[in-house]
Amino acid sequence: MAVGRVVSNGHEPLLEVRDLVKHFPLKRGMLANLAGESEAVHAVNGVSFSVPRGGSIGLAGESGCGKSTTAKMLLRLFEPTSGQIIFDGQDIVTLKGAELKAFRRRAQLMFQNPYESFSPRFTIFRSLAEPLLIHGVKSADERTRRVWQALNDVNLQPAESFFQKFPHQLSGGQLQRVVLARSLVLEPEFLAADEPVSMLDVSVRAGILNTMKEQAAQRNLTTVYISHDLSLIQYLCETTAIMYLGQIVELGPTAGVINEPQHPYTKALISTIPIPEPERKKTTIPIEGGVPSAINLPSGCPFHPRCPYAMDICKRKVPPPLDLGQGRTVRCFLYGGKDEAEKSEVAA
Amino acid sequence: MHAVDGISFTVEKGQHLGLIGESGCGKTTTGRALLRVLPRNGRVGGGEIRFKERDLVKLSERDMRALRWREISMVPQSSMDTLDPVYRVGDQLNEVLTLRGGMNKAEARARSAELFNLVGLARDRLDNYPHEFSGGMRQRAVIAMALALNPDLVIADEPVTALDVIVQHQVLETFRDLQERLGISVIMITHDISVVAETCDEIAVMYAGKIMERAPVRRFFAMPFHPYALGLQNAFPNLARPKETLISIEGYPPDLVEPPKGCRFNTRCPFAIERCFVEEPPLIEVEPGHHAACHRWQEVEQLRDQAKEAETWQSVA
Repeated sequence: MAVGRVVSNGHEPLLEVRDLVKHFPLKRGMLANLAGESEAVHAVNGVSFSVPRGGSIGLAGESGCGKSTTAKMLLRLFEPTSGQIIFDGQDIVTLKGAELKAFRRRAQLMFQNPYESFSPRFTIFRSLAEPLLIHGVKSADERTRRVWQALNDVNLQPAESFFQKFPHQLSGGQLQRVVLARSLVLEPEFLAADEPVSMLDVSVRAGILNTMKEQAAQRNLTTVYISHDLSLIQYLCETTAIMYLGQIVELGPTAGVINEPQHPYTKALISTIPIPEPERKKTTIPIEGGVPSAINLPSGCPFHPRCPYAMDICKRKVPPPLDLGQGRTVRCFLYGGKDEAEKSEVAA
Repeated sequence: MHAVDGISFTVEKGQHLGLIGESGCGKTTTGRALLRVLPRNGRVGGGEIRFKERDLVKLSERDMRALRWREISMVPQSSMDTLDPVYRVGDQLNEVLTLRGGMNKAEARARSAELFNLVGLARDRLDNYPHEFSGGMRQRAVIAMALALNPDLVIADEPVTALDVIVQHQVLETFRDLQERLGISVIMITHDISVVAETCDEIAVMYAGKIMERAPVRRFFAMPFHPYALGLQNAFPNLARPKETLISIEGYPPDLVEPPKGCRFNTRCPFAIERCFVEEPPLIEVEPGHHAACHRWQEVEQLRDQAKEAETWQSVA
């Protein structure tokens, strides 16, 4: 399926995700199991996108939309229920042993909370040298050189002055820079960052974002950013995917998605983001209620119970991704596909 | 340690004041001091809190107890987690109404339903336990509790942090609505200047225990005066007007056990001159109703342009 492919300079994608699904089965009583009923949290329900080498994509959405689960599957921290993750021409879902380890050197994840990302008993040097040891950098000089380089690259200077420090001796901002340094120390090609600055004060956020941007450009890193904060994604990503209940409902170049949102959910989401301009008149699109449970997904379009434009067909059929041109896709019957969906119902 | 050091502000009836600053700047301490609910090792070391002709600092603990909930109430930080998980939400609300408000059970039930309606929750949800609520619903239940006895002032500490934007919007709408319908005054403590831009009339920017700038919200966003405020505004992303580069205020706030001499922002300020390291700038009125504590406020037009450049701020590090 060519849906959601991001083409940039005609490069082959480094990462291509096809129809990714993740269901977490719920533990049930024995009787229910005997009766063959099974319930599951449908965290991710058919996500497809691709990122060219050196490109960046942001996955945005509210809590529970499946964005973090998607990121964890990209790194093989969760096993997908179904679907493919093609990384540099190879499906990583089936990787095992040495091949999986080799993949893990090339792909790294940056965690959200810097305070919980380190062993409090390890010095910064030890925390950064450990991945090198695991991945077979045997020379101590080489390890020191690479740890120094990584710290220096994230603007923790002089780098050697941080070697013997413990996590509690650093500020949150410095610590998040160490998190970034650790994810860069193996010189990966791919980096996923889950809410990289949400724990930090605004005054220091920009510094980290700028360093991430700089390093991604210098190293030609392919990046996936996960955030509920669209302004952050706007700052960092070429492409934006809006997720709702485990599906990408809209995808395209960031400026287009944010300035001219098409999907009713994207429109509502963007209209509620506060803007630091008190003079600005805003028209918000109110949507009612909360996100439905991912255990009993709504039939048809997952957004239809809250959508002000919902039609009859939306209750019965999941809208397929529609190509809007210019790299944009949207899953919404307002933009087409309604007749085909109705015909397929009649045929069935 | 002086977590809050000689700050002054006023909140008019029906006005919403946004108290902003980064972690550790004293904004939560300020909110708690107003209600005299400081941690055990904390005390109000001086000053006055004038509330409806009375000085709350001098009030007896008994009078203070009578005043909490009834006249001033609080939506505490991470209040989503302040509901007791083993009691029904409605019962927790009733407790405030009967114990504090002296209502009988029937009155309390009726008032609870009214309050739920006010904050946009369905009344049949009163019988639910907190775990049956989403984060936004719990937040609104706590707001309902704070409003239970018709207070004049609500102190809301980070009421929308950790909420998704759509829910955040619903909660902020609730506050705006309360101002319009009931004329309640609110002190909104937050780190997010865009939340203040959307919901408050006045803003006070705190840094290291001091107020650095205080102004009507519109004036503050149009014409900030303090370098810290200039930095914050340029550090904040704006979805409607994306910035080429966001600036970062390098360094971190000073240790308040031994605060620096002069201006407390001097270690991170790109515009600090010699005077800033010896003499503390007073909070002065720079235009009607707009106060700033900076020695160089008269040069602000020039500083505003420089503050937009990332290099300006890097020079400090």
